[in-house]
Amino acid sequence: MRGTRPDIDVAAALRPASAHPGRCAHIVMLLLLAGCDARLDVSQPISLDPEGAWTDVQRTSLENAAESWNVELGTHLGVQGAADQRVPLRLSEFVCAFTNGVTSQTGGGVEVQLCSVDASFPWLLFPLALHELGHVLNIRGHIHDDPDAVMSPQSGGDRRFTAADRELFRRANPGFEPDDPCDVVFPVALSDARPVPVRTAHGSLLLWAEADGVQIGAIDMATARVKRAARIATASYPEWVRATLAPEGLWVSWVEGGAMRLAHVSLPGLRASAPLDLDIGTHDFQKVIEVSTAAGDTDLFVAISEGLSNPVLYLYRLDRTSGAQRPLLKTEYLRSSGYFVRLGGALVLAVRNPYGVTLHRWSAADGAPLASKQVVHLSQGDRQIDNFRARVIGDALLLALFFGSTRPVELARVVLDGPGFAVTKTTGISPPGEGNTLLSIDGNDDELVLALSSMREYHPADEVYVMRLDPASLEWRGDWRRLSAPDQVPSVQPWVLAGPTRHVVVWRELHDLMTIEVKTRCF
Amino acid sequence: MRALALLLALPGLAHAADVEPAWAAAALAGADVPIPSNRVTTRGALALTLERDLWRRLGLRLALHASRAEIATDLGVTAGATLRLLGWRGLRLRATAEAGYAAIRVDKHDVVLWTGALVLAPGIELGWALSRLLELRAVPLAFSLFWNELWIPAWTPRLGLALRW
Repeated sequence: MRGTRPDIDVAAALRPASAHPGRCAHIVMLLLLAGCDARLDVSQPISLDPEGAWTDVQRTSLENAAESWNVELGTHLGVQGAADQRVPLRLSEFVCAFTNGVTSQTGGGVEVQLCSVDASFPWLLFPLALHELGHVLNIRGHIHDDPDAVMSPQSGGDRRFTAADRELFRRANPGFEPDDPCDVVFPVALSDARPVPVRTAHGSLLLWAEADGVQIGAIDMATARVKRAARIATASYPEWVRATLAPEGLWVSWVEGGAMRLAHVSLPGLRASAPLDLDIGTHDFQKVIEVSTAAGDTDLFVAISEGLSNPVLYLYRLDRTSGAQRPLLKTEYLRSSGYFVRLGGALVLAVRNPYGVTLHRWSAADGAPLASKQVVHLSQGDRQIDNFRARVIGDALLLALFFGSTRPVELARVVLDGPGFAVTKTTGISPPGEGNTLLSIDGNDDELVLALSSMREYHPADEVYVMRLDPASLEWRGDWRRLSAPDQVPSVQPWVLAGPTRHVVVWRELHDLMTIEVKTRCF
Repeated sequence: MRALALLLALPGLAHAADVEPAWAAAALAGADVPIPSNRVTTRGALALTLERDLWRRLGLRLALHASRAEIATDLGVTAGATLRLLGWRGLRLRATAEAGYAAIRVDKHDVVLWTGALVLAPGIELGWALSRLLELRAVPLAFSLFWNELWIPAWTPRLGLALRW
């Protein structure tokens, strides 16, 4: 229950709101309170002024709620900021008897009163403040059919900005646009599989799984907007969607119905071929933990890691013209997960070992193995690595090794050297917060960008951070920057895509097992 | 038996007497439905009132209120005036206006606290004389406006019986 107005359904709420400040809008309130509708200009700064005794934790929750609206919708909410529009917020015991929070849009201004009991629990205060700030931003109605929506009248829960929330805000503030497209996140789709960003000579693409197909979207690197451009139809939900660039186009692979399938997508036309079933051995795809593909000169190389506690890596080669399978290696002895990448004239398999990364090398021309196994050992004492990412940037392979929460992320720059490898540079980067989980790296000749998910104190939710680095020295350029909204997302997995001027970070928010949302933002 | 016969006597008898009793005591039950409402704050309510007609259509009223929701218990006292707008046969239509104070006990997330609010309570009530002494009373349109640094309105419908003498 929010506001001093009665609940109304979303259809009523979606009707265009009054654009005339001071217009008495609600008959019940008119009768009861002689109240008038006070609207704020959301394109201008709005200062939230806590009154009374607010603790640091409570202020932090309020700041996070304000920033969530700013990041999701481009508003200018700030706590005790410089602004002509000011909204007092009070903690009230009285409000607890009737509701969790009340936003009064009556008389000459807007004010918020929050139940002091709810406010004493940070996990209750954040969603409560998030909701009431929606009313501060002129939203009068509620969303009754989705309890997780920010503007749902139900209390608590894992709140997230839904399409209905965005529509409510848009209807309440017609004509409003963020100052810069990079100020806000862009919700791409609901998809519970990993999104796959791909940079091609014809533009950047984003692939993601939907119920009956692999969707291919074109990414506008200047705005991070993703426009649906093509679709590969599948008979059932496609899992383990992966994409690999080859001279003839994009090869998209996925797992469907216990089998692995492959389709060729032309560039720049984005026309997909009929899917090809691949017979790459008997796999229990329920146990797969990673799939990686890379293109050699004539073949497609596939690495499949299976088994959670004791991974086994299987390697395959497939003739891209005929689809003929050519087993490369079945490596029970490689008890790890790994990535295939194309690095110059070589195919490189990067495999995690307890204290670093082991690199294997094949000829990209004929798949002939070279005696080139090398271990990149970036030890942090006796600490074992949790996971790593490998990305080819120019003529170098960048490895990002993650040793666990609060530990520095180790970066290594590896180049081909004769038949083997040479590590030309390493560096350690302190994470921005606690509980770091997953990271991603990309770059170009001018800049490297690193993205990771992390948690802050008092805010037990994952957030996306990015860092710019010098590609040669691996020195930091500035500090970590948070790009996702500081809402209540328990898990975030980011991927970063470097562009010539602006970069895009793609992430998926795992709200629960049923709701996984893919979002993008440029920076 | 005589008293029961009086209580159950036809309304027309009361009207025929054409003498309005000056005093009344009523017991009413109903709900306090905050606006906007939700399940945990909608209250079941009881009210006891004592009334005295003073002059022509004007009367005074003292009322005790108790209500309870999942997270709150209210105890209140109000005093105010009643104005008979219409009297036709056994039917009476009154406008009421009361003011008072409510003490509120909140029990939420295992935290218990007391708070309070000033109350303004305008309303329209209907009375139907069941007998010379007994009146059926319905209050379909009444509100309590709670004030404690902000207004919170509640719709407060009631139904009950009044004893008049």
